[in-house]
Amino acid sequence: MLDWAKWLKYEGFIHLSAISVSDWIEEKKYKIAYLLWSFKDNVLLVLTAKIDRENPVIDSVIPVWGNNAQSHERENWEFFGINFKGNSNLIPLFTENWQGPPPFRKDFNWQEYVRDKYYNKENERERGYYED
Amino acid sequence: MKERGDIMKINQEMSVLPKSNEYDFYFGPCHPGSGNFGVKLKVKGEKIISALSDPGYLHRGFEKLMEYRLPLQNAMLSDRICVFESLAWNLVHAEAMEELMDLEIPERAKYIRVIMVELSRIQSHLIWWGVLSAGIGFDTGFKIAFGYRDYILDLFADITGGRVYPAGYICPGGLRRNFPMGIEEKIGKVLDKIYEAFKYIETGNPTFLSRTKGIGVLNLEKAISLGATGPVLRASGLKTDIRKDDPYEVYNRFNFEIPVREEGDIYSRYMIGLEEIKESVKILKQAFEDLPKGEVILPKFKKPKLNMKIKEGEVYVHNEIARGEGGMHIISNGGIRPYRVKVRGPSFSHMIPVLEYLLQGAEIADVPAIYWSLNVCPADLDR
Repeated sequence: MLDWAKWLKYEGFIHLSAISVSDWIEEKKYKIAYLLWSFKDNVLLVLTAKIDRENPVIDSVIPVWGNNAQSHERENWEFFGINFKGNSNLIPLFTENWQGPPPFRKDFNWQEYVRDKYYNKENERERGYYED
Repeated sequence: MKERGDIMKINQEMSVLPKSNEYDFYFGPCHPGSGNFGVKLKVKGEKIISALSDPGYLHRGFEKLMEYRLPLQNAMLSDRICVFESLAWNLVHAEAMEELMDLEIPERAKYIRVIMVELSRIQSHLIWWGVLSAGIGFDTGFKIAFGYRDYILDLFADITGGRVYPAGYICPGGLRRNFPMGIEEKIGKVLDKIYEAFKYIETGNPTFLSRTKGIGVLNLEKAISLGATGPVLRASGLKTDIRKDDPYEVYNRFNFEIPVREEGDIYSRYMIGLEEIKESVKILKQAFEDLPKGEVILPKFKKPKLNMKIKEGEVYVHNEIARGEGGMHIISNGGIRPYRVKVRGPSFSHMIPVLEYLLQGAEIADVPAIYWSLNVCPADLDR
């Protein structure tokens, strides 16, 4: 992975637009897409990698795309629980005191989570959330 | 009885007063000069030793929410990604959906899209000018900029029905409605007004220059490695603009320049913003000259079916929005809702790595100036 990234950077893809992760729950895989842009040739390129969903570990691309990659990796670590090996600064970016599972996974039901954590069935005004 | 020296020693040990002048300083997120975003600063005296961006105050989980909604609902949601330029985000979403569905929209719709997005860029740059003026203590500039921006918001109200949020005006398949009667003249008058605003812009005032020149310098190498795009990158010396490099809609038919500066400081970013307003006016004039007549929406989207399937596939669309590269990466598995939506906001890079880098070693008084000179929008970072 890192070798590919290094080669692509050498070829002119110096701008990392974003790292986009998608959760393929049936295949039990995470697909990680690195969206790259070359200022020299004006070409858009998507580098993808599939990793195991149960033990999501992948090499960090900080050595290639620097601090920009660092913050993108932090976001995906927080939302999907992907461990970027080599990124020493994996701390939550958006959430505060989050105790649930990584929120952007497909098996995370936010409606259920909010209902269980923040609503009370006994409360007359909130009872409606429990009726289907 | 204790000796005087002992008491001094005890006092020192208890350290009633801090031993050094280092302290933590939290800028935002409820501060009027920060806008829903916080930066944790470590400060020694007046100098900042380190800065840590702390987003999340405005996080609404749009990426997840969009997986639960239909494309036409998402068009409305895409306004809210950034308050300052909702039309530009409308366009990014609509283009991504059209690419997934293989749609070719009517010619007139393409022109109107360009007109709307350029108007949106002008009002966004006016905000930039306004908040940067406020950031350096030039409050009159703030009021003038927001006053002139209001003329454009009135146009938006006439055309889309909403001043700030157009409620999905640019939707997959075209536009929700055609231009109202006589809007061309109105837009022409507003553009004259915008030129009028330029005579108030302070660029030679020594106080203004001392607060902006040589401060917050971002060199080109750093700008690229930290992921800067758009006006921030152009102010550091790289001539790049997605409207020219990877044209979308009908941008390849218009003549316009890409303003570039070398210095990379606050002043150069400010000047880039002003020059871009002039370029946008140029594009608008050309667009009105050859605006074709006809429909603005595809027939099958006039009364759209709710269970319309999105073709299986994956697409990344990026546009040059006022702040830089705004993109959407949408994956569909053939259902009626997108499987995954990833929003790439330009402020993500500008507010985390770039801002942290620029604030190191800066003075406290320069924090708002550096912060707003990056043309940031906390909303598109937090999504």
